[in-house]
Amino acid sequence: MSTPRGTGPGPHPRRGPVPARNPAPPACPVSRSVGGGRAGLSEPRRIGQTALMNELAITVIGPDRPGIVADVAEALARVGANLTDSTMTRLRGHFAMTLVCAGPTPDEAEAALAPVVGDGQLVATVRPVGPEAARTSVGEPYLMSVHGADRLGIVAALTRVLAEAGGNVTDLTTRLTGSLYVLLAEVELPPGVADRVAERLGAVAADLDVEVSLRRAESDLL
Amino acid sequence: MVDKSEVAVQGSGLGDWTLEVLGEPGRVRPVVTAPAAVLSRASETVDPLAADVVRLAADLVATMRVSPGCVGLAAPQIGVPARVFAVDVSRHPKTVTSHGTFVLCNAEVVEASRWRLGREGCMSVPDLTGDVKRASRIVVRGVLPGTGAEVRLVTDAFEARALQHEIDHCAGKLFLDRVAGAHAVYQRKVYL
Repeated sequence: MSTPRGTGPGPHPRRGPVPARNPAPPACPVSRSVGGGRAGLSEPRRIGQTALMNELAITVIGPDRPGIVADVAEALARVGANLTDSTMTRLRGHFAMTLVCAGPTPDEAEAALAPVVGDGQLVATVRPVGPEAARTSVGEPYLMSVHGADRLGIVAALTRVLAEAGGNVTDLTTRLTGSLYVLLAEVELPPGVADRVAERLGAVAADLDVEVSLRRAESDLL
Repeated sequence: MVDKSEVAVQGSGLGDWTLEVLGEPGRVRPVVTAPAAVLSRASETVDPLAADVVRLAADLVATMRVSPGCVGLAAPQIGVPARVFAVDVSRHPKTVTSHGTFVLCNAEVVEASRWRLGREGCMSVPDLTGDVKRASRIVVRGVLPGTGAEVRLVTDAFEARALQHEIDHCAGKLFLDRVAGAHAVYQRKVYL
């Protein structure tokens, strides 16, 4: 969340819903970083050739309600934003969207999102990002499951074990329900280290008094 | 996960059909990848005795055999909207029952039970895998190319999964149409 930019009389993002919105509110809780990655922003656009387009990382988060995805997606579609990879989920009553889209400039995307976040409930960020790096995965896919009583440092301690073995987390979800803490992580491990990692995870998990399992996330080509 | 403790089902179901019936080695054809219209529409029922269907069967086997890790290939995957597919799971570690290499025309699942979740990939969706629930015990009815013999195959475990995946292709469905949840599709990480 950042300080609203601009000078117009737009609604304050922290003051809850307002009955009427400025159709072109310059004050909106949309921010972006301005460092790097701006080269070639005026290149032509064509879906399927994202390398030629602006690539933006956009986050939107706010109290869950029906229609958030539709509102955000419509606003971005109006400025020609092609949603490429995204993940959206509910986190303790907040709906969180993280997406990479291609097409508009950061300013265009901010302007498009301004009416959506204008009531101060949703917070959005827009940042330009560089083109997708070439995939260098040579690892084997594993799924790490952890569950136990919630306590500080579970994610930190267990992902450190993975990192020290050269493992790369590609997807991770945690859920706290009552006192039960659950962590699920997809991780790529270098060949041949899985047994040693499982042993180390077991030791760290024992110290944390949680249960951990590491199993091959095998898939079959059909 | 495959339950290896399952007792293998009895009976070959293919009678004396072998690949020799197809009479030719078949051509290796390019594999179509999504998005492609041919992968998303129901294919046509075929005449299993027609010469072009027998050639298609041979081409499916030839293409399947040169594709590393491939245990099944349906006609839409080589761009032909026909209800024909080839399967061979005989070398896969998760196989319990196997009918070897065979081709079926106009196949349908007539009984399905013991549903299990498994992660599967597809040559036509090369960069993704997904968790899909499939029956681990099925009965499939179909017709063998070249002889026109109607067969009833009873199978299980990995061959059952492969048959359902290929029959889905013939109905214009990809595994993406059956994934278990919004978070059940993954970037494919291991290339065979």
